[in-house]
Amino acid sequence: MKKTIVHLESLQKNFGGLVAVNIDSLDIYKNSITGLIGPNGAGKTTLFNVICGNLKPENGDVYFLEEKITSLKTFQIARLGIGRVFQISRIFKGLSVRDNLFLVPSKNTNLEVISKRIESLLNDFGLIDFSDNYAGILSYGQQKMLEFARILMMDPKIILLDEPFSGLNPGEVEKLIKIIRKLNSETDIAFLIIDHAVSIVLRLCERVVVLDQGKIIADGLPNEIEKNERCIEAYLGRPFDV
Amino acid sequence: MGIQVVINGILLAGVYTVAAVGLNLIFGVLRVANIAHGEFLMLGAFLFFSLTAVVGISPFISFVFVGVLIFLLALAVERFLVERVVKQPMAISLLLLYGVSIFFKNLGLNIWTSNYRSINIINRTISVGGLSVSLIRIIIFFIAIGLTIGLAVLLKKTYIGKAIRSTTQNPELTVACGVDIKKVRMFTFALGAILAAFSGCFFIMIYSITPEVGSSIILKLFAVVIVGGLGSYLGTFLGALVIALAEVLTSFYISTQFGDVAIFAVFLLVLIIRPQGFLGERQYV
Amino acid sequence: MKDSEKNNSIKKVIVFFLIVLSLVILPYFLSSYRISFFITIFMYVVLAYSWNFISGYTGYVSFGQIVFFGLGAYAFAILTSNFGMNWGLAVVLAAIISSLFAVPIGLVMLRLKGPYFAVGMMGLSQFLAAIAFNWKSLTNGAVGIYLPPVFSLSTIYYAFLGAMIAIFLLTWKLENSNFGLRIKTIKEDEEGAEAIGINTTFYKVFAFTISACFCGIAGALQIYYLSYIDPYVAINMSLNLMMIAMSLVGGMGTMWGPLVGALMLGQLSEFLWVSFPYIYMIIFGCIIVVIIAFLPSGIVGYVTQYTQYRKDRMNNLIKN
Repeated sequence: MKKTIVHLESLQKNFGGLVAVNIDSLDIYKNSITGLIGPNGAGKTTLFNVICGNLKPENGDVYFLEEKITSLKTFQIARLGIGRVFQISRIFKGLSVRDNLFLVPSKNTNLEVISKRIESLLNDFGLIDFSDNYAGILSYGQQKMLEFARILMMDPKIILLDEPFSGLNPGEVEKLIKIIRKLNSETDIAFLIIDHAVSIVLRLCERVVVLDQGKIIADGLPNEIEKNERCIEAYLGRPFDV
Repeated sequence: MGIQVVINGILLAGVYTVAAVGLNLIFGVLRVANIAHGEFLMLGAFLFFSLTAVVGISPFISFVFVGVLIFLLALAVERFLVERVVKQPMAISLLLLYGVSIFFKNLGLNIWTSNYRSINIINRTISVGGLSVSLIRIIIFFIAIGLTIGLAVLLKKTYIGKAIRSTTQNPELTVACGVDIKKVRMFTFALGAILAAFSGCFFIMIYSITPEVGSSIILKLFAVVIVGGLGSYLGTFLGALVIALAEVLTSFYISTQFGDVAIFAVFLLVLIIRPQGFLGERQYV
Repeated sequence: MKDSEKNNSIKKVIVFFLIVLSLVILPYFLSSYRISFFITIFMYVVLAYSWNFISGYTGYVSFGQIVFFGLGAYAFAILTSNFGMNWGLAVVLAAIISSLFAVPIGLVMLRLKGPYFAVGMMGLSQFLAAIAFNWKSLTNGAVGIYLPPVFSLSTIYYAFLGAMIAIFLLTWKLENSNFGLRIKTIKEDEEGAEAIGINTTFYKVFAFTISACFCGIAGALQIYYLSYIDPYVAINMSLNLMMIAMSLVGGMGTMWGPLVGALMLGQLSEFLWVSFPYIYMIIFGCIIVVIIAFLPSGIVGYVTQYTQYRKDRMNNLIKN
């Protein structure tokens, strides 16, 4: 029986008259790699915003490990273990690379342990040479690496990735896929990934959820989704009846 | 007596609306909170004063002159100063315009001293069924409405008006359509400034003011825009009504200084409870 | 590497102590007029650092920190004249009162973004001024309150010196601690900071309160010095402007910026106020405009960026 890490119940989010998200029930399982796809405006990023507390839903609740987190503030949700990597790199460019990691609140307060952790993360992500430089001088790919390193400082139990592959060249895409797979197998971090590159998502994720106009229209294995007519319709539109 | 005060309040709202609409325009296009707006109002008022009362030019011609002069001045301010900071965080442009306002305010105090000035063009009052209102206020109200309508026409029908509206909604797309957005910014800033200046002319015909009027009025104008809602012109008039009425009623029934307290209280309350105002668009908040 | 770093730190601490020591001894050699001059400069430094603490580091630019100066000022005046309190205690209480007000004000106002916060604070300071004018039973309105004159200027000198050292050290701690790093993230990217678990509200309000506390102390001491208060003196808009200008010119969000700015503009203003009062403000307006337009990170900011840029270039060259 798979254990649930994030559970959405009767979740509804409106913007004025527009229903952005309308999900009866959704479970994200521990240590899973789940993809979240759908055409533009389907509500994917809005869903992330609701889960992370940036937006409050009109109806329904978000549960994290059986705890209701709907009314919590963003930083509290982050500290519980929900990490988020945004579409646009949000590292602190005016601070040093090391400081970007150093300031992350973590449960451990032992300075030595934290320093060691930072060193090892910087090493793993190829940033050790830039430790004392302003994060702003890093290349785009390196900034993404830094974001990952930073998220890991938080000891997250699930990482929400919003379009992580956008702007990366094929080599970097492979690298990122490797990192995600490695983290998923070595730790028990779950991943929930939004991306427009459907092919990458189908390749990487063990389960894919498809959103269209706020509702889940499909949920299953990648090869099932690939063949699912409703999904194809959602992306490409219905053919004209001649 | 109370109704009289209310009528004066409504007429005052007209004046506030003109200036506040200018503020709204500037924010919409440049994304800049023009803290120097009050100073443009002051400059308009006192230039009008100097031209009319000191040099002796007819008020109508002075009015036009004021428009032209302030337009040119504002163009220069935008082109050489504001333009440099439009891409930076709002704090920077705020500080820049703060400096500009300090500069102009003290320049005004230097030129015109801190004496109270006023212009009395028409001294007649109209009496209707027990109420008497000064004719000049009524005329000004209608000119203010005329200006607002003129502005609406400009925004709807002319090329520059459409450019302004589209820049307010989507700057990138506007540039992609081949519009010279820098010119739009310059024009809008100058347009906003002359609206403030005209409002100043009205002011000095109704009240006695000193060059300090800029600092005291800028907060009221922000209050108007915030209460009414950024981005909505009808909202601006409503906001002006609220603020003007709050001001005149408290001034009349309690004291003038309490008028100020009341306005600031309304302003702070709205900021806190409903920053988007009556009809404003949430995205700005 | 570690040894020379240690040596450096020891040197810095020694220099710091020497400077403080000389400032402590200074009054014995100075005339009353000179001591007054230093008192004014110290006050400027305190105000500049206070403004910098919130506006420079969190990015929430306040156009009305003077409101706390005013609160501290009136608190001091009322405590000493109505309650006959000892001046030292009154200053401490004034600081506490300013801080206590700062928390709810901060919680409310710091929810507002950019221009709303700036103008909101400006509105708040005018609001306080209006209250000061109207609540005559408490503040005596525009007539003001007269306090017994001070005989020992040195006392005020040392009080301001203490406040100056305190806020300086607090700023130093901000620049050199994890706590301070988190405050800085608010300016960089508040939402991003929240996403990694930083309680931005707490850090914002903290910085705001420290700022308010020291503005309150400055206000109280200023009133002690002047032996008089009225709404203009308490909610002193030209001081409000000075606070902002000094930090700006020196460099917002830097360790030394407010000091450089306070010293430069402090000198300039003392020199200028002898001449026509309105011209002096015109020049200030110009200075702000010019600095923002051409040197937005201030003198210290510019110098730091330049040296950092060269350091980074050297780094890159060495690696390649």
